[in-house]
Amino acid sequence: MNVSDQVKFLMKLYERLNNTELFVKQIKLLIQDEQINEEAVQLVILIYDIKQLYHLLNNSLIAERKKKYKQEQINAKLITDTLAGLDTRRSTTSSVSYDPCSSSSYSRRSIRGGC
Amino acid sequence: MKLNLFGYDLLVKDTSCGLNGECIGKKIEEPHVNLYVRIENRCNANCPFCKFKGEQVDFDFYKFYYILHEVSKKIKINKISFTGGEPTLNYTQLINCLSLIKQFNSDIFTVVNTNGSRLQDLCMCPDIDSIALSRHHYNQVENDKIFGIKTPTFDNIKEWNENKNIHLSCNLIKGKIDNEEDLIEYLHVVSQYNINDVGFVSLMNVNDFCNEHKVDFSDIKITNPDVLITKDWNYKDVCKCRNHLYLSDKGNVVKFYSRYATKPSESEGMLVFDGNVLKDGFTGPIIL
Repeated sequence: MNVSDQVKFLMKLYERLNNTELFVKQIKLLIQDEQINEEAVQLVILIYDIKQLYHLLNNSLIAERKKKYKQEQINAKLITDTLAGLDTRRSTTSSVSYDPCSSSSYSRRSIRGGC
Repeated sequence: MKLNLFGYDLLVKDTSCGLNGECIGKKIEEPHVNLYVRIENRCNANCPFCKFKGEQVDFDFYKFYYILHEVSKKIKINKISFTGGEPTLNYTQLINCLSLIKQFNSDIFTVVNTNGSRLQDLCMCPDIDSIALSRHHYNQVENDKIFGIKTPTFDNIKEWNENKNIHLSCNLIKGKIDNEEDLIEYLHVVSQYNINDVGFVSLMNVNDFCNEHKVDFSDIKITNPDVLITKDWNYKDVCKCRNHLYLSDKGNVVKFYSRYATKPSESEGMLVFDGNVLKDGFTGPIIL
């Protein structure tokens, strides 16, 4: 199962449902049916920051990863801001992004081979 | 692996199907069998691809109980499917068998295959885990034409499917559902009626009609961006299947699988009780 395709599918689902509660319910069913894997759901949690999904996976690792991801975002922003101060051309390459294929080292690792 | 059952060596799957291109799957920790029960050979429909329509079955209820009891001593029974003919033409016997199974072991998954003749009654039966409703076209007129009878409408299905345990089974037939566009339309229509489980199955070569109208699912190229392939399975050179998810424009998800049996006679761990005798598969030797 291609994680990247699953994430895209779930993002499309989130947009079309436009209802977090229904989205969480649907994700729950898909996990139960083993139609999607946890890695894809973890990425969706990071992308949309949906707290209701945390307990579904019952995985404290997610909270840890999220914390790490946030820290990486802060670090990336600090670097970007610093670079922006030195060279304005570089300020356009902001690493703070909700794109799963963004420059966050976590994201790159998680969707390895998917992009 | 081999299992001695009533003096007969039955082949039972001890490895799961190969996933996503693997030649062979993982070792099955708890091997099991699935039992198919032909409770009635008569059928009120006239599907051109069916060869199982026949005379009334003199169903031996006590032998069924004996088989259930004895097989369970040797191996786990995972699923019992009632098939036919149309099982609901012998409704009382069907309900008795379902009740017996659940009293015997409530973990056994029960399935009733039906053309929908008594769908409302089946939906209210607490002993059925899944209703496999044959539905070969999304268009009501076309569907009725295939069956040769009046079949339940999607409105009926939506109204009766309170427990959400109806699974639709669609045969791929040349001139009916045989291409991507119609397949997507089928999924789109069912998604509007709260049905989220569909199977597309290739016909088995059981008669001339099947030989002429068979469609291999792998010949239908799915390019629709709203379809996600989730799993690809194969079991030796016996069969292959694929799981997908379809996302409708309203955000409804329908999971669907496609199945194509290349050697249906070689399915392992499939027991068939035809009301009188227990057999190894639908066409295999008699066990008891």
